[in-house]
Amino acid sequence: MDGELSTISHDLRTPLAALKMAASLLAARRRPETDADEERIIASLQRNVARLESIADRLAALVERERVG
Amino acid sequence: MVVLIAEDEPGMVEALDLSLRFHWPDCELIVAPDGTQALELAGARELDLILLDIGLPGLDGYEVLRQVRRTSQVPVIMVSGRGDELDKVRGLELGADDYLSKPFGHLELLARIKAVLRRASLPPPGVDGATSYYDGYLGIDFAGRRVTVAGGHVYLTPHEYGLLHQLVSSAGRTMPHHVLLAKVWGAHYGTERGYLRVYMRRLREKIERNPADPQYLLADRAIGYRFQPSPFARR
Repeated sequence: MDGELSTISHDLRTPLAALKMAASLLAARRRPETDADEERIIASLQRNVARLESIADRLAALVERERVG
Repeated sequence: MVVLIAEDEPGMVEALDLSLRFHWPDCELIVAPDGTQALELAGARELDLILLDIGLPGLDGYEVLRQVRRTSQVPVIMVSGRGDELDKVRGLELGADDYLSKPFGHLELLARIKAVLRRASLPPPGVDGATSYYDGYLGIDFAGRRVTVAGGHVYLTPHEYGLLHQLVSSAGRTMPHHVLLAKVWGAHYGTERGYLRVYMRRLREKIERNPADPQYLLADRAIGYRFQPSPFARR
């Protein structure tokens, strides 16, 4: 079970990295004509990526604590 | 710029591709989905950078890096979901130039790549790649193609000078036999190690204090040769 959790914790980080890069790219590509709704979508994406990252970090810390005993 | 992305997750490859093309629209991206292909491509192409995932199927990223470093000093950034210190240290000790822990945004990726490329383009320590090398005993004026030893001018044949120039330009780094042969003798050369043995012996006789115990021109067995700059070298 510990091994499985560790794998999940590790595997989670690759799609999260792809999401984080995509979200930061979208933010960087903002144009003057980007409207308020698009701004909200980008902000929501970035906020939730940050939240997911925090959850992934907590999971990794939990796995590490279990591993060390 | 030619970049090898060694990564098995298509979503990650796509994100790296988008990020790199956003900043360098003309860059050429080559993708290797496993370690064996990464190694083959690293040997077959002239690369400016490798983004190397550790958890590759087949040969893992560490093994790929270990084998790449036998023959090449191409900048390598390790990429991994494992963020612990020991993993980073292991990668750096094997010769990685930097280490990125997932997840990261495109700005961090860009900053790391720029820093690694900037370091890779700097002249090696103790050597002014543009104009000269001088350490109080050995002097090389690249512009004038003039070499001095203990203050006296030393005549070098074109091949001897070419060999010395290549080695000093990559001071501190081992240049593989085939690379030296191709750069000094021409693109069709690569297997004639006997040439290198002969010319290295001649060069040592001309510039080393004791050719039997060389301090500048060192052989890395089975790999190639390197120029070891003196700690007293002036830039």
